[in-house]
Amino acid sequence: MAANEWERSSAVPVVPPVRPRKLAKVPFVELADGRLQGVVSSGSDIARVYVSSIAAKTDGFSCSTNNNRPCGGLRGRSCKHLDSLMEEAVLQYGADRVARYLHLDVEPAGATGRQLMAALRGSYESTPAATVFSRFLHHLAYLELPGSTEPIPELHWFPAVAAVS
Amino acid sequence: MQGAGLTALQQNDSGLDGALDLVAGFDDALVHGLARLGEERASALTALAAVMAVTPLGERVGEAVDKVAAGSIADEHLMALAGARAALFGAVHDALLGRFDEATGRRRTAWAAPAGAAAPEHPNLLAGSRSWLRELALAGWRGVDHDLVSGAAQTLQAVLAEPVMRRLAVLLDGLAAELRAASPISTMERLPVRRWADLWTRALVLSQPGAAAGAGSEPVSGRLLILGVDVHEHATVIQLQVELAVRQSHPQTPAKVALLWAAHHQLGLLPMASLRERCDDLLDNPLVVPSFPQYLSGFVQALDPAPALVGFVVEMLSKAFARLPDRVLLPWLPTLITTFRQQAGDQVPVLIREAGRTFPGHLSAVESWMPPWSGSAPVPAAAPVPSGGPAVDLLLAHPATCDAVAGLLGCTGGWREVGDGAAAPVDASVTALLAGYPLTADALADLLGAAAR
Repeated sequence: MAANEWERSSAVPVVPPVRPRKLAKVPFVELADGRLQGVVSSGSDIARVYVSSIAAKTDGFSCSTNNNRPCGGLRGRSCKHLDSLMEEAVLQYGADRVARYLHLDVEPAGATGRQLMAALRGSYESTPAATVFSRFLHHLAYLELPGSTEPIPELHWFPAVAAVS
Repeated sequence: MQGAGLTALQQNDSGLDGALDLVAGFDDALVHGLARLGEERASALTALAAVMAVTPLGERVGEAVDKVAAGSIADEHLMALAGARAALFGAVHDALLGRFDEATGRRRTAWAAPAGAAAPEHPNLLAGSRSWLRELALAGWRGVDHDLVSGAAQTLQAVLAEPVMRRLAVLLDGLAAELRAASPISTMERLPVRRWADLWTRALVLSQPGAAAGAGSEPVSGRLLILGVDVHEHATVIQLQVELAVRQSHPQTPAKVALLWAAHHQLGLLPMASLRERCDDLLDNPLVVPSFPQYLSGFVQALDPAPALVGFVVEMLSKAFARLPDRVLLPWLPTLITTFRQQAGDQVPVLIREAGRTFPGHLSAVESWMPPWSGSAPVPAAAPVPSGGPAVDLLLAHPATCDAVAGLLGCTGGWREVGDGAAAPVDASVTALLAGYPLTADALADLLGAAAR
């Protein structure tokens, strides 16, 4: 489709569909609020989760429990939770979307999470875990919304773009 | 015949092109933000206001464009601009649909304003949504950053929690997700200009008190044929829309319906032309055709009390033999004969005599034979699609006849005089398009009026 035609079309897909991934280790990943952020399960304690994030542009990273105790693995360098977060983000969004959002200077085609982590130039930068965690809870709350048989004509702007195999 | 109609579909129409150019001008203003319009984009808005001046929305749009130029932009001004954009697209839609219907010979019932009960309003939430949309419009798509996108979060959560505001919630959520995913927008190679302006416009219209009245629904029963399922989705919602056909929207026995029609005709309530039109409609409708023989059986049964219908029955039998597909016609023939035997024993000689009078007696006459009923049906005049150019100027200059005819036909769209001092040249073809398809503009004018109260 020519550029002009694309710009003058109403129902063009803008957001590529996210790819399916297993949710056990990293139940929540998103590119929002200028960060790659998410919730990572603790490897040892089933009752504990870590809130991890990497900021766009500054690459400042942060990892703590959901009640703001800093992650023990975070000693001026990234921890295993941040590594998992990046791996899962690449699975979900594809490396090029993650690299573009974070302004990373890598060749994104086929890049792995490890390569993207290596491209980070930032240092520790505190992020309130509560903000990210509430995004997670907000996301879960969608599951609570009741379905409806009322037609939503506005959704004609959002035709399904890919069949789930 | 259809070929000619389809060619007409592809004709250029300066009214449509002009309307889409105006929309493109407005959409471009949204890319860069209404807070810093260049001279060029400001003149695009002026052109929009000049064309809208003929519509009931004209005054509000003119005021809005002035305010935007002066830099003091309130919600109501943005709503007027969104209304103008929606009205233009409404007219374009109606014109294209009219052309399509004309080309395919399709008739459809006129659009009626939704009669559903007004949903309970949440003025604070609507205001919150309008305020976010205003910030987007001021900043322009190129100026949208993380904070601006995140600014929707609180309103969005509250709107999502209200089942009656689901349409607005789903739309805002979809737009916010796209803006988030496109970040950083300032360095995007190309923007979905039309699409985001569409979503913005619709969201603003839905954020207007009184806009989201329930569509209202009408129960139907009958045999459902599922033709397919449309899937709509974005990250947080999915809608399955089943496309289906109802074979009988009112579950009645066709034969009894035919008897009823015959009775109406006998009582003078249903003229022959209307009766013929109804039956022709049945033959035209592929979903009803299989039951057409049952209607005919009903008419045959009606012959006893209404012998005057004998000519009509011969006509319908003739049309049935001419037009019913074999898979319907052949299985039905035995039923037809038994129906004649049982229901119209006395009438069979009359029918045969009538048929003898109607059909040609010799093979040689068949070639030039014309059924007496053909040509009697008035051909409905197709509504002309207004086109631009000198003819429109002429109409605008001499509107008296047009107004008289419009009054006669009950067209209450309403013209407005375009002021001599219009700041921008008015595209007369777009004006004509808006005047020709005023439904959307009228509905939006009502909405704006309702909001002002």
